[in-house]
Amino acid sequence: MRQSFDFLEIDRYIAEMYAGKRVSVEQYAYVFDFGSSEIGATVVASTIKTNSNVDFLWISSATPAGNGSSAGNLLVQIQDQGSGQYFFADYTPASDFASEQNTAFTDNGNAVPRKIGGASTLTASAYDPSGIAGVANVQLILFGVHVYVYD
Amino acid sequence: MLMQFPYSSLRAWLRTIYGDAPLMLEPWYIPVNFGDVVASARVSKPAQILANADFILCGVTARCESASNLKFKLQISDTGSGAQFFSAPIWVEAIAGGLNSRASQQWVYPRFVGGNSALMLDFTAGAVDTEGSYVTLNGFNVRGLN
Repeated sequence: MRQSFDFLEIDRYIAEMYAGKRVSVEQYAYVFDFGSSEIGATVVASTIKTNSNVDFLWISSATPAGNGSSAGNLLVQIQDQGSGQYFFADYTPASDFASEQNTAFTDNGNAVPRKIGGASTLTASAYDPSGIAGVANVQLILFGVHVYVYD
Repeated sequence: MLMQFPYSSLRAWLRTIYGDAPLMLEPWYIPVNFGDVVASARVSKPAQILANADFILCGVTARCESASNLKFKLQISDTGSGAQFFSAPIWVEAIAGGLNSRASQQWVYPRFVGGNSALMLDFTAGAVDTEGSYVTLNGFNVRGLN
């Protein structure tokens, strides 16, 4: 998947968000793993905790599946457990914000980076609205950068 | 590998790291041959960065003899610092193209890897055997010019 903007725009966003601070930026990705069972009408959830000493800027996503099926039709929601804030207004088709597996050059990155504070606990929930369980070993991968802040 | 990052952006980014020092840049590919891996097996292989150059990692490509068995997970770590590139091993199809397809570069930001760094690539096969499996780190070397 090609990201939706030049990577230097990430630096520009960081310069604005962290004005006056020294920072170090490093590529990273967080992985929600929904396990080996097929996902059907029942919502399945995966929880991760971001590293405590660093912020994460979420840039783009992918939803590969290990059994060859497409995860693009899954409906997905992500919630920050600390603030209770949801990332989407409602459960959203994965294909609307993430690449399906092995689809090159789909401009499905976020319009702007999303800042996720260190030590955040995020829960991703997914289900297949058709009720037909078929896709398994699904991951939801959040691609982005870690931002280390030095006073 | 299809160049993901505009060259002008890379040069501007390098200036934030190296200042105005004159640099020599050269494209560099680090192939890691995992060979044949049986289903669910895990194999680790090293990737050594040159001692006299930093390496800027721009993306990853992967191939198997059959595109249908490009079903494996990948984790990359720096053995020196212990830093991992992902919070967990990821299905490689999310970041790399398969046999006979253009590379799908999922890297959102170039990654600086210092000279002489030792990376470790962990390959975990999925439900099917993989044959003739390669993972290649794509990017370029950076050397300072006196």
